[in-house]
Amino acid sequence: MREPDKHLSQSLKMRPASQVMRLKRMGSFHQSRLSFMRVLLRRLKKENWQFDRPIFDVDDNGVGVATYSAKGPERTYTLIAFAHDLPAELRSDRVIAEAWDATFTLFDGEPTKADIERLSKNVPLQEAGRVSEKEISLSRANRSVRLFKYVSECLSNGQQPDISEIEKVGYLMRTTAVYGSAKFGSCDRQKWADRPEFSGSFQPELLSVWLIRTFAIDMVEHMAKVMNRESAVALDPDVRRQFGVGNSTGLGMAPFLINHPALIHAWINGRETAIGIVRSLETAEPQKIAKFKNLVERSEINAASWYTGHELQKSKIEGLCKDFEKINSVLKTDILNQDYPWNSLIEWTENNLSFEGQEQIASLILEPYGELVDHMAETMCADESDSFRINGTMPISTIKSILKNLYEWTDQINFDETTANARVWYVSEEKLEPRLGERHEEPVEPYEQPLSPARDTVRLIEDLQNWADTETVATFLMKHPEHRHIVRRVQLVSNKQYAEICDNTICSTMLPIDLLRCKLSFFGATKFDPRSDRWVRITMYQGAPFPDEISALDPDDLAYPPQDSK
Amino acid sequence: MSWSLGEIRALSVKAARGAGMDWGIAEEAGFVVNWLEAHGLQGAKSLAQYLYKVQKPNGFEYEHCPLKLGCLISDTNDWNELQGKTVHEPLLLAPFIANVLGDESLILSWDNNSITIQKNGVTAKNLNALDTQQHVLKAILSENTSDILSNKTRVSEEAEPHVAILNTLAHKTYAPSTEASRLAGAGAGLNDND
Repeated sequence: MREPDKHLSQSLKMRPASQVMRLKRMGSFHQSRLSFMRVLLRRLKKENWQFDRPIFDVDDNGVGVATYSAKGPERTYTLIAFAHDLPAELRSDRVIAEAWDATFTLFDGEPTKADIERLSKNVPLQEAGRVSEKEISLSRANRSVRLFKYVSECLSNGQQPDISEIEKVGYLMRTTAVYGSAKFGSCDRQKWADRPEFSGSFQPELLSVWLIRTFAIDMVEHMAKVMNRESAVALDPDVRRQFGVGNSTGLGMAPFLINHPALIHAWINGRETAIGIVRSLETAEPQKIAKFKNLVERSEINAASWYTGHELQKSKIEGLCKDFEKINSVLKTDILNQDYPWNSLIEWTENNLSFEGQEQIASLILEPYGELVDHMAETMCADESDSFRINGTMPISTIKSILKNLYEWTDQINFDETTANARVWYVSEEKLEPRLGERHEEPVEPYEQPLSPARDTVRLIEDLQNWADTETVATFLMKHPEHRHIVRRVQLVSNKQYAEICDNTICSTMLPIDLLRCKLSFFGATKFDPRSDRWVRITMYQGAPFPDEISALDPDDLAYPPQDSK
Repeated sequence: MSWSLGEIRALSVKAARGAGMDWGIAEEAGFVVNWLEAHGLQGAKSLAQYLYKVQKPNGFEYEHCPLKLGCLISDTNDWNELQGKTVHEPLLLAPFIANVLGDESLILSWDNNSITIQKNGVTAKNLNALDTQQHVLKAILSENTSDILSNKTRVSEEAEPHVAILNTLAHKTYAPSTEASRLAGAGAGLNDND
């Protein structure tokens, strides 16, 4: 990591894990300039990547194949898209679905005819097919039937669709799964982990999604032409940019945050360090303040157009809109002209705003300071195999002291209480879908996944009580192999302050959507729309440039709605 | 079509858990199979044979378990722990031994078999077909050699029947699906179409 620049003050003010790593706050995170979609688009623009559509062979029924190539300084990647004619009754976002409107793979290089032929027999089957070392991701998408039909009809009549109609949905297609490395035979992460274009997290998957967005536009324009070759028009660029890619994310993604503590630390630490860097600035120059105020205004537009039918999220958005009123008032004071202006502002938010508002501002203060914070993106990844091996020579005294330092918050939880021990994370035999069950009502406990670090550390602490400080972890684990999983975890997180969620993940009141929101905000998603306490719809890349315009536009600026869209 | 290493690792963890192992040991099974396959040996086959032999529906018995002995070697950072011990499927020890070796290599032998293990790989010649017996181990240190099996980025094609066994065991970790869990457990029940 680069040292903070000399005009920064001595020490960074980092928010402690006890403040940051709480589910309620994590469930209010917002995208920032360190979000992975934005990191990707900045890189594609900076490195002047070239894009092409070598194949578009789709018939009048919307069935066929298309390829989208992205050519960087060293390598080319190709999204291969298979378009299908899906009967309405088969259209489902659930992981248990078996057919989709479109299926995709990201190919490492430029595919031959034989590659496409091979993939045409496997990619449409998704989990039931097999891909190879040449493929990096596997994904699928369904149409927003209503918006797709409306837009294609408008275009076929030579008209542009209404922005207000687009806003109600925000996308023409939504992905329902984007599988990454090693799944279903695709290449292992090690194959590309050292490639500079994929440094950071989830870059190949997000490149796939960005190209899928172009495919969705091409499909709607194609279908408009099929309807009326004479009068059909293409989308205007400004209208076109209003379409993101939708995504439905269910429980499958929730255990990820618990299963990858080193990675989560790297993500949160990257953002928190960036926030710390900006808070440590002694003064704010007028143009930085102006940029910040401009983006506050545009974020308010975003909040105002954020629709959800979910009661809890609805009230959070209402709170956020009220927060903006308070923010606008405080920005009329001299708060940003004081010493350490950003620190003053963050402290003010902590006393005056909801978590939604606090996290919105925490993300927004990074925006004017790309030159100081963007390098943190390179740190936001982790090779977890490095920390897999247990250090058995560690004395019991050391592990006891790590537990005391990092897990003291578990003292507050009594796992003898039914509510504290209410849930079981398990995997269903049906398409191996992760689920959350009720321990005291369903026969699922024998299938429990190790996704309750709080309870497992409490059990570990109990069993360690009678062990002498001078004994070793190796001896303890020979006697207690049942603690091997949690001991590995405790050792792994010992030097990573943001690795552990400081909440009970099997509590009756735990909301999986908080985990989903946290992860998706790091991806760069917006417009979180929970459909229950355990799955969420989002929009990705809404407003972002398309491949044919990225060289001329600023993707970071487009991450916020235009000012005149109020 | 071939399997990725990440995929076989994930499957091995589930299979070991399905056979009754504690989660932390099951994770080691994933590490072991990944390491062996990446270094040119049939890790999936060894694990499948071992688990098939010893699976227990209620509580795993770690007697003569190569994974538990491997954990001890790795945890104590001392390969001497294996001297004279009796285990099933000694091949599964190799990755743990590689963990603790410095610049030397170690010749591990049992019955008429021997493999040479070093930090970056193994040499195994004429490994006899593995059987259902337990084996008494002998280990001696040796010089490093450049004559190791070449590294692999995919699981060997020969793993296929063994992958099927691992799949069967992994299946034991999945809860049978019911309509109630399909709706409540995954939180669905709303119309997906819009």
